[in-house]
Amino acid sequence: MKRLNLIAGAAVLAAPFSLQAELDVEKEDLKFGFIKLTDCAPIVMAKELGYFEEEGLYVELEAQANWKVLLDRVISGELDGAHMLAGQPIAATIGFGTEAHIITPYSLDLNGNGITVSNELWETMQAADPVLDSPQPPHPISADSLKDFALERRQAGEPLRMGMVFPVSTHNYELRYWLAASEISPGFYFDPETGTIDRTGQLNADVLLSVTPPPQMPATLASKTIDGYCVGEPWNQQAILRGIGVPVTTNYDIWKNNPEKVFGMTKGWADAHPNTAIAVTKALIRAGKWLDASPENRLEAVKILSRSEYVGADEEVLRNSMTGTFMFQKTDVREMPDFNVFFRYHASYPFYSDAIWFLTQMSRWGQISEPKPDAWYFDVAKKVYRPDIYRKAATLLIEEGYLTEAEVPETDGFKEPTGDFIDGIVYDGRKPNGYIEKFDVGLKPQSSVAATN
Amino acid sequence: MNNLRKLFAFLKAIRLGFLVPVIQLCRGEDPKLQMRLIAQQIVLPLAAIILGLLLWQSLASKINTNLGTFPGPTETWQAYESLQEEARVEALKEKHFNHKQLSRMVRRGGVDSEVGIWLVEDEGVAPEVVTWLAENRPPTRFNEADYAAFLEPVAGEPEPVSEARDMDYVNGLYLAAGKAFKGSETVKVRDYGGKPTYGEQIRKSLWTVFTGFVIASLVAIPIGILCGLNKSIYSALNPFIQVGKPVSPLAWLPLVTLVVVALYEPTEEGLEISFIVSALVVALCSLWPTLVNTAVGVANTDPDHLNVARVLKLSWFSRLFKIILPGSLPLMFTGLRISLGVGWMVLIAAEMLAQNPGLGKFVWDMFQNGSSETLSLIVVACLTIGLIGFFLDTIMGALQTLVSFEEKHSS
Repeated sequence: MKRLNLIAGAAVLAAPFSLQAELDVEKEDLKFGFIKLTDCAPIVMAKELGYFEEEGLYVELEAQANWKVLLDRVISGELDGAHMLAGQPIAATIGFGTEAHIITPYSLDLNGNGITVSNELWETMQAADPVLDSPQPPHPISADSLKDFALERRQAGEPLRMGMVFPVSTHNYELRYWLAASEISPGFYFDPETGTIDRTGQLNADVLLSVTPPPQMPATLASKTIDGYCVGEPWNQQAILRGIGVPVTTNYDIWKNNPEKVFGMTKGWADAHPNTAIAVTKALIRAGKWLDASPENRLEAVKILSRSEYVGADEEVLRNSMTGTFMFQKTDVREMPDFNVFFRYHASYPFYSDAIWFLTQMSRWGQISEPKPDAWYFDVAKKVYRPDIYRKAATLLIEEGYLTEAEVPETDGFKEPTGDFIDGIVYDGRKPNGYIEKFDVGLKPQSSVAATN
Repeated sequence: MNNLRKLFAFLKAIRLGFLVPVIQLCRGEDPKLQMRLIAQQIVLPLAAIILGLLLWQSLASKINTNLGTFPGPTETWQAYESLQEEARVEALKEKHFNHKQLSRMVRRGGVDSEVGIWLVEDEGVAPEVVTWLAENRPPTRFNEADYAAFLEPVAGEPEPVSEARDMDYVNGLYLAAGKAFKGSETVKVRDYGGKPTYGEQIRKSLWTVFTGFVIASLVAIPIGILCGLNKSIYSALNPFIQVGKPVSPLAWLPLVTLVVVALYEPTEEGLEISFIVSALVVALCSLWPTLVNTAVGVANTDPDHLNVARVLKLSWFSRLFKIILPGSLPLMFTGLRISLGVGWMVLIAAEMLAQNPGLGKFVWDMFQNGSSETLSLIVVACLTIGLIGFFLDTIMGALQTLVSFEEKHSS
């Protein structure tokens, strides 16, 4: 009799509680890694806003000690996916550093990095270029004022030292780009004349670059081990607010709207869990959109990111960059609405041309030592960047009403050529070798001639 | 009288020896001496602690780091309280999550779902409550006020439902479901995957060090006995022991990590690589004192005892288990005690690098956060590590005295 009642009840219940169309995910309990940087925000918010749960995914987030540990743990399967430097999946796939086929269906953000120099170095730059000695010097600040001093120090046998976060990180390429644009050699990984390979990338360097994990940058600068660094937020704002150093430029000035971090997973994992990969991408797209939807959302995100299990820095420090302002000096706080872009300008779509830019820089600095034809660049980009997964996720989101068609770019994967760089050199992703030829400082694809200097 | 002496010995073994004069004073035994002992063993250390705290407070405010001034005892206490508050919120979040899960389980078919039927038939839950669970999803995002508002009774609803609007009750049902549907193919009950609280991190560290210590002991004691019994074996192994002993955990860790990753395939229910790596590093660094002390203990068995054994014509096994091992227990335990101390120290470094979610990772994460609370939280962690180390050493010390007593009785 009881059972009869139950079944009658069920009939009434069945209709209103049918679940929203959920993908049949292969793995429900996931663990993602991240590094304590504000641009892990889409992953954190997808969890905190319940977007992962709505896809039937139960996600645990775990801060990782550094990029190497993070990548190794993704490859070993301890992590299902992670917040990665855009260069990481590419480098891993072509076998520079740890070799593994890593793919990315989602680009986490644009911009978001800065270059900070020590207070002493800033004073030297100001002395070399009096224009900088102002409460609000004109931007962009190039490395021109640094050149003479850097060369002087090199000749004295005590070259300047600067930190970046990983050999294949955006920061490494941006710091190199900034220095090289002022004809300062940041060093090479390969010397075609002698065939020497240098894993530290310091061959023929005017300024020695070395790896320091992002959260330790301010402490390393304060202890005078390095004279400056290029890192993501909040570690530039931390430096100025704590009086350790001065942020001189951001990567927005070095290359407007440059791709920064991606969400990476191994190809093996994505092949074994195709629906899960799409579901994860769906949740990330929604979180990215939420982050760019309003200033209030950003403030809420700042509050959550400041928790000790996420980025953990003080709210005041995080708020600066996340809400579109950036403090260069205590007297120089600027509006930078595009400092952190998570979704606008199709920021989350994995463009092939973004991957190719990183490959061109790897060639430029000798991380890729052999000349490669243009087709090779396209092949690698297609192996690593997976807009197909993004499109499947986006199509489902459009059906569910979370996304509009206009928010998904109509593209063959290549952005239009752009000259939005600090040195004005035009980048066309369709002509990678032609692009590398344009740089004065850097290895040339066809020639065996070493870099200038 | 004899019992009292035993009690005092026990108190001393567990580092409560300062209570002895108090008890003696109560019994009226030589009050003058007892007062002097109390002054020496209780008043003086207490005064030193208070003085230390005052000194800490006054010195701390003079150290300016780029994360603010160094925390004094007050800030440290506040940081400790903030950890408690975090744990409280985390517990609420877990209940909220479990509620969402239970609601989700019954939503697929209401009272007629597998879980719904189980709730009604086995747990005696009113069908209205199951319907309520299915119909009313708690807010997706956790917010203490929102969840409390969600649980507010609604006027005019049936009584069982208003009674069921209790997070502990719902949580209890979910936990019961966890047991009832363990291993079920159709119903998946999952644990809350929130961040580990400070208490959980401490437990993780203790569990890791314990595992490493057990592994170390299982390796070190047999080898130590072999070395003690046979001088040639000892001479042969000695170079390895001397070279292995001073190797820092930081040097072992990359090797151990690579080997574990190569040999071990992590599964969903299995042990985590970071845990295995940390435990193995602890084992590698902490096995040496046990090994050496066991060898020395075994080698120095009283020749008189061995002569007696020979006279009695004891077999080799009896000699080992009745004469040699009992005699070497005190030294063996001294070794174990040192090993555990070393293991605990090594663990923090190992966890930092291997990302095992214990106290070491806590310190590292806080350091990386670089927030204004960073320093005081790290001081809390340092105190915790110190106190736990002291506690572990006390246990081992007590065990050590225990076996030493037995030796006295048997001799």
